[in-house]
Amino acid sequence: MASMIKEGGTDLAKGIHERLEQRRRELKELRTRHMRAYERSLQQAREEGKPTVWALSLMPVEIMRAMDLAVYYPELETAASTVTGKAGYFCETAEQIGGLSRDLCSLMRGVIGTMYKDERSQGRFLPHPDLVIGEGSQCDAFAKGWEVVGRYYGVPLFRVEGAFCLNGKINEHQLQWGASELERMVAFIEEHVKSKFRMGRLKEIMSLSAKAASIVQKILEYMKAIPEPRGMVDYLRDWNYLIVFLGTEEAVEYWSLVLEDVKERVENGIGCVENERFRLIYDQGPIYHMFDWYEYLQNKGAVVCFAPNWFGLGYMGMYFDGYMIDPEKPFESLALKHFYSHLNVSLPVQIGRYIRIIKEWHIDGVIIPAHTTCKIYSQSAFEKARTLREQCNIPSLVFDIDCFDERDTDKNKIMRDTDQFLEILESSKRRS
Amino acid sequence: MLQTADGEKHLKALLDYDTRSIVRELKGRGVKIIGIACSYVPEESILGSGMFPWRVSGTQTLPVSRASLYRSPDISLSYTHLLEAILLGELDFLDGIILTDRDDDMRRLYDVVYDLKKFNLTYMMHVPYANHAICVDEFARSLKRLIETLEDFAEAKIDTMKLGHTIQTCNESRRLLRRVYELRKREWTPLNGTEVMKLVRLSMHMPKNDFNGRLESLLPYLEARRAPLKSNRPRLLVSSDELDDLKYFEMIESEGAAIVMDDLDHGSRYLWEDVNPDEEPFRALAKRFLTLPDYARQSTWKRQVERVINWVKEFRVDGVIQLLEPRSLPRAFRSPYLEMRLKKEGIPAVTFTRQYPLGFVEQLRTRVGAFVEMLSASSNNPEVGNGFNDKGRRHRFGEGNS
Repeated sequence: MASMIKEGGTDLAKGIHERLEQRRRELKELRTRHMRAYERSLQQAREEGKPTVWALSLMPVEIMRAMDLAVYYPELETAASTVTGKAGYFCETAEQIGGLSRDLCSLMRGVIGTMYKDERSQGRFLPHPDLVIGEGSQCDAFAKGWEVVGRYYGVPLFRVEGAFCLNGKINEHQLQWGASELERMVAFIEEHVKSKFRMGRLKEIMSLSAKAASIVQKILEYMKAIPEPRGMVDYLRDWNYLIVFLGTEEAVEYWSLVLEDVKERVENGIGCVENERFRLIYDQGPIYHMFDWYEYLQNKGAVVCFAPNWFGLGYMGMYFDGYMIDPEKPFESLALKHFYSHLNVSLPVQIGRYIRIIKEWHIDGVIIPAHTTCKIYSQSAFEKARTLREQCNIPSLVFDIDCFDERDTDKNKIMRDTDQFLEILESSKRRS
Repeated sequence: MLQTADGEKHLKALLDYDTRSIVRELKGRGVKIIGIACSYVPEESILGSGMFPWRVSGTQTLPVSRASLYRSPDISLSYTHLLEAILLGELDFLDGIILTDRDDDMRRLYDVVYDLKKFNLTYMMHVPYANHAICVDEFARSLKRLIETLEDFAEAKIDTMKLGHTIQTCNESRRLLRRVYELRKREWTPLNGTEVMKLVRLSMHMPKNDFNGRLESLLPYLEARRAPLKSNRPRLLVSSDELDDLKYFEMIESEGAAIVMDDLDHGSRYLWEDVNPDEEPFRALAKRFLTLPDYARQSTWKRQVERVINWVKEFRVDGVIQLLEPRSLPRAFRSPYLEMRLKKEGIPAVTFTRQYPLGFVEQLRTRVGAFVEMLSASSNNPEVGNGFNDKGRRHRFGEGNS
């Protein structure tokens, strides 16, 4: 069947390709429709006097949804401004007005820059917060940057605490602590913005989260197929469904369609690129100002089969540590999700996960863009590369980049390094 | 009471104390030495298990070529130098090392140190970010787990009474050091900045009873002593983290100023508050180490900065020098807020970026010299003003109730 489709001469093959093309359009329309509705809801919340929360993308949005709050994610705005080439401008604003060092996290500088300028890219409306919800255990920049935001707007700031996952296991008191922090967050929100928490509503929302999560698990299984049905260019478009639409019908609708697409591709041997040569792990968040670089990789037959940061946001622990969302225990489920998320685990745990990915996804190489102003990534890059080379004989490409502030990115050097890396992969293929 | 000549001799003997000889002696007696990499780790926990705590610091040598293999260049230099010290074998005398997750750099340093397997014990302790009751309880549990680990490692039981005793001994060290700090409020401080820093570090590296005895007997002499300084004015406060190269203090004072107070984890923040000896020990330790307005990573910026402002008033400080290690994220984020608050109070303050061992010396010396000169000029002629008062200006920072 697969070879028949590749030859592309039959009606059947033509029919499949038409269906895939149609689905691609449907996915695009869904994304546009959902995001427009989300933007409208932010504007509407302001008009109706509904409280708006600025939240970190890793925060349990399901709880805020159950409290009928409008949630704005400033980090996503920095990412969006990267696409339009304005992220550098916002970062520079944070440096000039806020006095922040250029060495600090560019994602957070971008957030603070939009705050000082009181504007967003593409002229969209910037909702001012009534409350800021951040957290402390993922990284220093998130821990401290939200304090700057809370102080500037003069609004209450809540910071969720949680234990660091040192050895990949959670014990009872850590789970209790994580859950009690979320309960404390609920009390804090109720106190400051008079929103009422309804457990029944949260359970309904968590059921939708669980449903979306189980679909994503299936997608991941399909993504082990050779050729790889989805690539990095697709992952970049998923981002909002990992953050903004958690616990919604929209997420279930989107992931269901993605699953349908992936399933059909795998069953018919259709990859995301025509000539798959190398299967890669991509260990970093999206770099929207390097979109052409992702396309370049795909054109060379180098396919990203697994991006820990992409689904590590929420689903990593589910896959590797076996926990599932239990809608009847929403606080514990959300605490577990946070605990096992990719940035919250130690390097040995991360490397253990990579070794499994390398085997199960048949990986040839690893790309680790060392986001220079992100300590978490830039510090662990060399150690990951070294360990994976020693333990799995897998080459890695590590290069310096600023994922948001395009002023600090040397694209030419990255392209040269990429070509060399592809040559290394080619020669190790030849050897084997 | 010590006579002047004797006093000076005893002071010199203490400041030149060979702490490595103590290490050799303790090792000879089979005592295990445990490195402390973070100021959130209470020495009491190690002393209580019959082991010896050693506050580690990075190598002062350059380049750090070995550590660079494991660490990218944009991370906090103090940790890179600490890793280099480990790789160079400078800390081979340690039996174990305790780190915390206090910031990204130390979290990832733990990963590397753990992987290197240089020590028989490499332990990471969790430190919450906030300091409300739930976090204090959680930190008390963290301390309990640390002590259980140390008990296993030392094959010794730490009972509450033993822990209570070490708390009292450590409190005594802190009390004596605070008395030294009190003396710095005088017109001419008895010890210069370098000497004070040496003293504080000695208390981290000497047997507590020995240190306490020596310092206690020196105090009457210090009451009368005048520090060897070029000038007793302007009076400065130095603020930084993990600043343990004494050459910084020498350089600043060589420009004709006196360091009379500090906001350092290797200085005042190490000794400022006691552990409550009457409370259940784990909770008392948790409270002391977590609720201090200490490191910028904690969510207590307002209290942290207010404490610095109070110190400025109490110690009659003329100016504040913040030595910022730019890759240290929590402080770098707090830095504009600190500067804004100091300016609002009319306190002259400057921020200079720094390396780990004293580097780019002449560049830094010129800046420090200019600041000292500016302070001297304004104190000689109050009409001129110091140009640092920022009152009335609407600033970028609000005062949220976070």
